[in-house]
Amino acid sequence: MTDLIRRVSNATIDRHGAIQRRDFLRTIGVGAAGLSMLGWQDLLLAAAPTLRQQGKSVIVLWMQGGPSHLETFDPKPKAEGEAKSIGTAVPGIEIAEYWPQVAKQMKDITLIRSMSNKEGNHQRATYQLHTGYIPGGTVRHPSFGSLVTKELAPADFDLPGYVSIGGPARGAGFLPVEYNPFQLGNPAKMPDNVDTIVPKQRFQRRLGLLNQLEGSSTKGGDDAMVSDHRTLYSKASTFSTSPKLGVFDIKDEPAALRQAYGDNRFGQGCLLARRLVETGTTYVEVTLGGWDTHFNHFEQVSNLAEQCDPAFATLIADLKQRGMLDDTLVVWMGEFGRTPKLNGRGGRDHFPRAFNVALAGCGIEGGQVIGKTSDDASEVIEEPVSVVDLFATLCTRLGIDPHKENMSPLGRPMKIVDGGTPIESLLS
Amino acid sequence: MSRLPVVTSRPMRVALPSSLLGLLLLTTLTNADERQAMMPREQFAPLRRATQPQAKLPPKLEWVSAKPVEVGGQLSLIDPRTLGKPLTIAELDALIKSSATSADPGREAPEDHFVRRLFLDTIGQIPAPADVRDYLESDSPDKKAQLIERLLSEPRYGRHWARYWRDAIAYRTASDQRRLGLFDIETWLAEQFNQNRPWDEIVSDMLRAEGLSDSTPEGYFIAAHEGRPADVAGEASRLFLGIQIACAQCHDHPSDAWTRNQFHQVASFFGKARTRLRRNVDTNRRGVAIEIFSRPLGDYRMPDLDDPGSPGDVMGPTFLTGQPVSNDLSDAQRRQAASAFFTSKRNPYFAKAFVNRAWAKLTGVGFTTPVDDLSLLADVRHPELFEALSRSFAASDYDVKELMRLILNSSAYAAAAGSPAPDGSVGESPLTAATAKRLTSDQLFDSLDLILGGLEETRPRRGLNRPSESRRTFREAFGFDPSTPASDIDGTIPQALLLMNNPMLHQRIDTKRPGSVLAKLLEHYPSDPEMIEMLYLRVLGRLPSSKENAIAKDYVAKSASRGEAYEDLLWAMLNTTEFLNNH
Repeated sequence: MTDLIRRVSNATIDRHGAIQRRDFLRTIGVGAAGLSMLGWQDLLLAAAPTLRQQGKSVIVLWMQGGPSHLETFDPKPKAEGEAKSIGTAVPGIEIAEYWPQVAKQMKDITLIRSMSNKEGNHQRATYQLHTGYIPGGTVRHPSFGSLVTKELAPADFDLPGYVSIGGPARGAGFLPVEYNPFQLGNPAKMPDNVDTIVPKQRFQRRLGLLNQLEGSSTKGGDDAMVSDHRTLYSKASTFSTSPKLGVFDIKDEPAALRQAYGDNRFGQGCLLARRLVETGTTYVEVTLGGWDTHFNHFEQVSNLAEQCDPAFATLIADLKQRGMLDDTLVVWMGEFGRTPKLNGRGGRDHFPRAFNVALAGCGIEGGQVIGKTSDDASEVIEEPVSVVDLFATLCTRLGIDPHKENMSPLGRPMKIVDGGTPIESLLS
Repeated sequence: MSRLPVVTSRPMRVALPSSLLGLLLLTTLTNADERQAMMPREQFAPLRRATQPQAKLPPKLEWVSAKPVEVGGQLSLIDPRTLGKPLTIAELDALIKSSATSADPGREAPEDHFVRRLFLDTIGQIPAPADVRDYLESDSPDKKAQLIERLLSEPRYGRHWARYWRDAIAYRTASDQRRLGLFDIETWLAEQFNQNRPWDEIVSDMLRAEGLSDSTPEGYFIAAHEGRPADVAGEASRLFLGIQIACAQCHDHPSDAWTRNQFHQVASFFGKARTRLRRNVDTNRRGVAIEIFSRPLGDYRMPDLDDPGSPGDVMGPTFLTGQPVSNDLSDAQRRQAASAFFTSKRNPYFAKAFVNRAWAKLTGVGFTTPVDDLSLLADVRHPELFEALSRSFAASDYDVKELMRLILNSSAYAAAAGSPAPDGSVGESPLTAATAKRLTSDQLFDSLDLILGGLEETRPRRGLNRPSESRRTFREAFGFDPSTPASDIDGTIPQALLLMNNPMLHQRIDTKRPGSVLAKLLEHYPSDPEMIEMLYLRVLGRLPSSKENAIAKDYVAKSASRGEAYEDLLWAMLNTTEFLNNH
């Protein structure tokens, strides 16, 4: 039995892909009665001390539609428009007037004002800003969330490692499906099918019966398949009956804090993101849609910022207050910026040539500005940062080698990030 | 005897080529030798180079030739006159036997297992208890062939295979437009398979579709790729030829002979087709449709990687055989030429790609893994068998039902799960249907619907031609790309959660619900042994073993109520590995 445990723990330690996982299951299969005698959790428990726990997490605030850089964190007094700029907690850094609370947290936030890209189509740019790859061809690139989860998520975590709140998330692409995001529409509601419906006791009885039937199937043959299935059910039922399930119930939080995040889906989603990361989730994306402001630009941006500003600022403060900011990378971004010139309908159109991103946490020193755009915000004039540069930077902050390769279905190795140079001033 | 030229044998597909050039193209491909006299000398030359050395070889060797790529990326052609006749079942079995290296012929699957397998593989649903009983009780010597025939003539047969191809196409599109028309292509393909239209006609229709997606649902293949020539070319090669050229989009293929030029020459066939999203159309309730139209002006160009700003070089259409066609062709002519190249009997890959997929789907293991790579370096299992069956499929004029009939009646398909492979291989073997296959989302949904009843009751929104919400729920959780090797498809936590806890399923299991199937069964079968047998028959298509009987009886005896006991038993059975797989 000791031998079995040792083999299992070895397999578990380098458990970072389906191949290893299969080996793992085969190993257990060889151990014959291993599972039924020990149980999956016991085995993991035996291996737990040797598991690599990186403990780093990511929260992405995704601004769907392409937020204007001018009305967010790269205001231009001389450019067309009506938004004023305001000072922040960091002397010399000014942002648009719609973001008073974020301004107060600026000591913990770093702005990249020199993002530059070519994709001006929502779908293609969204794909690119989620995967680091340009869409096209038939390779379905894994989303960054799946890649990071694969690298960082601890094997014994009983809740999903990658959660997407309020948005259409990009999936695992060619990575195993277990790296797909767990998608949640409404952060104030429990996830689908997670409630056992029948009382827990009866649920356990059912599982016991299932286990007995699985052990006596006459169809025989594929032991690996049955143990694979048992593992899955063990994990799913653990999730379903997990004491951590309460993490999804944000009503636990003090009313004042819920209020501070904002009484709307995005605000509550940010609060849930913090709760998830606190519980051990590796990657959470919270989406705020509506940034495609071709019409009534200023009115719409002002409304969106009313939701985003308190949520973003409270998230940073909340993480910091709990001592979590050092290990949590917060990324605020969208798929592109918007045209510095107003169109005929009081709106701004798509503009990938210059846009901005805000970063905080995970050891990034706040209060910095990377890069610069021209006075009319139409041109990056200092330190241009490409999408792959950004992704390489994020990897570096998380302790992930951006050039590590995963195997695509065509048998072609693909790097987590294809090229790109991490932003030097953000390296510690 | 090989099929006559397409122009005469298929009036349905080719009304009349729009130009003499088009006519020449088609005849070049389908029956070049007979039409030699009509062809300009320079156009025929490359073809002759490709075929002449082969014509000297005996027919079998020609097919068995392990190297698909002859000279630096040239697809070798064959002479359709050497195809011979389609195989008979006895001939196929003899080939299977001669492919086996072990003396052990493998066990035959028990009849109940076989029936479940056959139903799932043909009509995509488990058998009803009566189907299993009828089969077991029948004394007819050809009951197997009769059942196969019956199932192949059910409309659900076409639907099942349509879903396979729908997924094969849809799962590799990077476009978000892939949802639009997904159900329409399924319905269209179902009709084609049920009418048993030859596979070459089905593929030609998909490659040549024009107009609005409502009137030409077969345009989905091109529309789902937003008409991007490179994606259409890469996917058409992968799906319909089993040749993966897409790597060569950006650079010469690293492990195969294809060059970047060749890739873009194939893409050029699709280079004048465009798609656009049309809003406010009145042909459907959604008000949105995709239109495939022609771009009259401009050439297809290969992007210049060193200078992305420049327009790139003009690429004319040339197929992988090295046969060029004029760059002056219109969109319709180009795609007509492409479909002729793809589906020609001279091109052995067209038959092979389909045969490999059908075999893999039916037995669980294809002649190659992955199923869509027949390239130079691919490891082909039992090449003689593969070649003969592919040749047979071409000789039958790509008769899909005939191929199904052949495989389903074969000894390989009848083999028992878990029995040793007759080729002596330790793991997976295409010579037995011994490899368990995960149920697809539709197989699972339709089977649950048969067991529990009423799952389809949640109807789609008024007037929209699409599946029910509940079926979509299953598709979201259980869907997978059928080109993925079976061993790479993992179960997921949302799948397990859905099966364990989904309120709709819970409701269908609940005996207290009016009209509950389980409650009715409990009324009909007051004795526990009968009730347990009935449940096993209904869910797993077999009777319980004595051990299973004991477990079930014991559980029932310990339960608070009979209703609760059987709810739990049914719940547990629906969550077993056995139920969720096709063995």
